[in-house]
Order: sequence, then C-alpha cells, then structure tokens
Amino acid sequence: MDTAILAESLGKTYTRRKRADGFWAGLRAYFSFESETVAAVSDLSFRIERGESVGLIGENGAGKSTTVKMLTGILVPTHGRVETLGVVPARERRKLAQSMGVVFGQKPQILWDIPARESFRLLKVMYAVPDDVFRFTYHEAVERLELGDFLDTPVRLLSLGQRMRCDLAASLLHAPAVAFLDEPTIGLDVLVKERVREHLIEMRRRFGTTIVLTTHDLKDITATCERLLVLDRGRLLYDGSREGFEQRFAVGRTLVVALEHEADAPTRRALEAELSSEEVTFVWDTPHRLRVECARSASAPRVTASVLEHLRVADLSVQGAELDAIVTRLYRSGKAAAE
Amino acid sequence: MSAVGFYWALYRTALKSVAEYRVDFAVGVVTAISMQLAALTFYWIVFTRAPALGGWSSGEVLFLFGLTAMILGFAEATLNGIWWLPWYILDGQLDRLLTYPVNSLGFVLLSRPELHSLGNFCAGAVSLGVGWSLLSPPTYALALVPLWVVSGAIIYTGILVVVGAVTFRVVGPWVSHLFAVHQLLNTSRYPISIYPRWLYLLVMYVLPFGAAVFVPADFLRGHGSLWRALVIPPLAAFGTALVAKLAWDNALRAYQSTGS
Repeated sequence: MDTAILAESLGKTYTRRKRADGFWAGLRAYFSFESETVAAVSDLSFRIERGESVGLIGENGAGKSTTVKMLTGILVPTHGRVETLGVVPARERRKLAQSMGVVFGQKPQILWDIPARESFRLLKVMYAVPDDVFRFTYHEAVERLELGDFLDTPVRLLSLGQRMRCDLAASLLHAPAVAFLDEPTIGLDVLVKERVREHLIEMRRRFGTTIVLTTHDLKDITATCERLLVLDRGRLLYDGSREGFEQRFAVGRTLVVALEHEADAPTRRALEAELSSEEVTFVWDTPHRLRVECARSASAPRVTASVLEHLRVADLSVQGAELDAIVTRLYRSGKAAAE
Repeated sequence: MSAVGFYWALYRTALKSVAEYRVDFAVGVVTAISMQLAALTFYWIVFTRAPALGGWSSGEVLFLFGLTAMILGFAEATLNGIWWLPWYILDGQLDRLLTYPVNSLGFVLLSRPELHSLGNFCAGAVSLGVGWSLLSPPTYALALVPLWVVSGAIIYTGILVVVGAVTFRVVGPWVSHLFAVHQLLNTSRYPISIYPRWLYLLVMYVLPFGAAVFVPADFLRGHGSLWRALVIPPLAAFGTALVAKLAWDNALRAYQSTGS
C-alpha cells in the first residue's frame, strides 16, 4: 500500500506575547516584546496508508486541530517533517488541495449569500471535476444527506445541521484521495449523524478515500474508523487499531442488573460464592439494583449466566466496554496523573 | 477549465451574492455619488477663488479627479475582497480557503465585489468627460483610459494587500490600516505640485498611485509624453503586484490560524 500521510517528529509551537493579569500589568505587556512559546503539538510520528480510515481523538486542546492544519498545509510546522500524498503540504498547498477534501465543522463558508447548489457548481469548476465523477458524488450527497429541500436556499439562512451537511457534501464532491474531517457531525441530530456516517462509508467504498476524522462523538469513529490516533496534551498517546485500543485501555465491564424481587441474604451469598473464582465485585446499590464489576479477565457470559440463575432479573445491561467509556476514563486518569 | 475560467466563475458568483442585498446596493450608490459630489463642490469653491491650483487649471484637475474616482470604483467593483481579510482570518474562513487548489490571494480579492462602487466609477467618468470637453486632448487617448484605470486599480489593491498582510500578525477586526492607505490614494485627486517633496516621492515611487493618475493626466493636458503615459502605469502596476504577492506569501508562512 502507498503511504497517504507521513509525520516524523512533527511539532508546532505558537509564539505569543506574554500577558499578565490586572489592568496595569496588561498595559505594560502591550508595550513589551517579551514573548513565550507554547507547544501545541510535539514529537508526533505516524504513518497512514492510502485507503485507511483513522480517528483522531483527544481532549479539548490536545492538538487535534493543529495537527490537521499541519497535515493540510494551513500551518507550517515548527519541527519535524510532514508529507501528505507525497508532497510537503505547506510548500505545495495548491497541488495537494486538488486531491484533498477538508471539513471544518466550526468555520463558516466564504460564499455565504449564495445557495449550496451554486457553491457546488463553483467547486466543480474549481476542482475541474470530471462530469461522471460529479454526477455520482453530487447525486450521492444530495440523496444520502437529504439536501434536496434546501439546495436553493442561501447558505446564511440554513440551520447549523443543514449547513454541516452541505459542507460535508462540498468537501467530497471531487472524490478526493484524502479527506480531513474536523468535527463533521457537530450540531447534527442522531438520524442525520447516521446519514453522514453512511455517506463517508459509501465514498470510501467507491473511491478508496483515505479519511482522517476528528470528533468528540466517538460513535462516528466506531462507525467509520478502524484505526485510532489518540492525542494527549500534544503528544501521541496511542496509535493502533480500535480493537487494540479497547483491549488495552478497557479495564473491565459492569453488569447492571435490575431485580424483580429483593434478593435475600442466602441468595446473595450463594451467588457470590459461585463466582468467587472470577475477578468480580458485587455492589448492592438498592434492594432492586445490583452492579457486578467485572475485571478484564472475568468472563462476562459466565457472570451473566450465574446472575440469571440465582436472581429474578427484570432487566440487564453491560456497560463500560464502549469506546466512549474507555476514552472518558482515559482522559480522567490522564488528568489525575498530570496533577 | 483554466484558472481564468475559475476566477471568472468565482467573480460572477460573488456578484450574485452582492445582488442579494438590494437596499444595501441602492444606499451604497447614493452614498458614493454624494461623497464624490462633496469633493467636487470643494474644487468648485477653490476655482471660484483662483484660476489654477498649483499650476493646474480646473479642467486639468478634473482629469485627476476623474481618473482617481474611476480607479477607486473599478478596484472596489472587482478586487475589493482585501477589505474582508481581517474577518476572514478571525472567523477562520481563511483556513478553509487555504485548502482550495487556487491562489488564496486571488480568491480573497475576487470574493467580495462592491456594487455601489458604480457610483464612484460613474462620477469619475463624468468628471473625466467634462475635463475632456474643456481641454480636448487627442481622441486616440480615449483608448488608453482603460489601461490607466486597470493599472491604477492593481496598484491601489496591491498596496492594500501589502499593508493588509500585517493583519496576519495583528489579528483583530480592524481595517484602519487599510483605510489609511485608502486616504493616501485620495491625494491623487489634487495636483501633485501642491504637495511637499516627501509626499510627492511617496505617492510617485513608494506607493505609486501617482504613476497611474499624474502621469496620464500630465499627458492629457499636453505636458508629458505619450510614451510615458503608455509605459509607466502598467509598469508600476506590475511592480506593485509582484511586491504584493511576495508580501502575501511571506505573511502566510507566519500565519498562526485561530483556535479549534
């Protein structure tokens, strides 16, 4: 496979003037030329092959956007080397742009007063999209993302969700070899998010698009990415498959059981005795609610079977194995370690 | 489809955006014409007191006034986007633009035409016409007017771009630095001979608006040579455009973008 994106000890530091609190101190800072450097991203190395779909996640301020901006050529890195589709992005920005699609979920359109249909037409000219490709991508976007109802409304009058859909469609019209999507599902409702994910999957299936997805909605990643890059305070915390991430960082699962009848003491003891060989902890929240915290080594099916056998169960759910829960725990532990 | 085709399509689309705001357009045209009329009234007062201003007669000054207004009008109707640069940077639109396979400067410039500039352009054309009828320069010189207007517009915009490149470092919704340059252009509405030497050098050589206004006007009033009027304006335009491009590219390298 060809390499789509290559980063070697990539780093970006911002320079900003030193600021101090307070009115006089602030005024003094206005006339001083003292500056400080802040490292947004440091020592980032990874390689993404063509056709891969990679989720880039991290807390607010972890350096995700800065990374994306360096990969797309908007920012010039202060350290290290980056290559996207074989070119140095900031140096050959326009050449790269021809085969790159970008969505910034947070940033408005320049041509704000014209309908999406006209923007699309302009983009077709800008990228010189061949007719047959355009026919497919345009149709696919309009159908899948249900743009039909507002294609002729000026962009400034659209809702956030409608605008986001138009943005996503616009960024993929030229069937780019690589797409950078920075929070493409921000402000969308659950159903539309689903549509967006389907659109990404379809474009990838059809054109083998390499996708780099930044998001705070981890369901986006579960649906579309096989690989994860996790950033933490500007450094790479994890790089590998999504399953690998789950295995490595998932500490366990919790079985949440709602009981029909209160369990008496002998029943509880019998259940606990039966599962004594497993690494589990019983937490009797209320008379009608039990949580069984299973360590990674514990067998969830066995625990579940025993629970069902001994207790009258009204409802049952397993929590904690999802990406969401793992990442939340990871962020929290990262913060604790930093303090 | 060539790059020219794209920029043309972009410009047409941008014009359509402007047409969305019809009231804005009407108010803008009226304002532009009133402001030019106010300036003309000032001339009129001057010329009722004195037959000439710095050695220029009233008809000759109309050449200066007309060319300056036409240049301003043409620049605003085509390359006006530079005035939006601070906003493009602030709300992150520039980031998006940098991911397009076209020249970012060209895109910025063409993205925001101002239709009310028609007011400036027409006021300028009428003034030039009146001056023309008073002094009747050679008719073939009419064919050179577009060259002067386009050269002047490129110089005007080029200087705005150089100054605007500062915006990349001093981020904020301010256009006062651009406005200062805009005011400097207006110096070319008055005879260059009334200015102190440093200002003369500034507007002729450093910020060469003068090259596209004074040199042609000198020729029209029968002082300068045709050769100078033919060569100097486009040459100054080319030079300014080159410096503007360098300044822009240099500023982009220092660009820090905004958060998120």
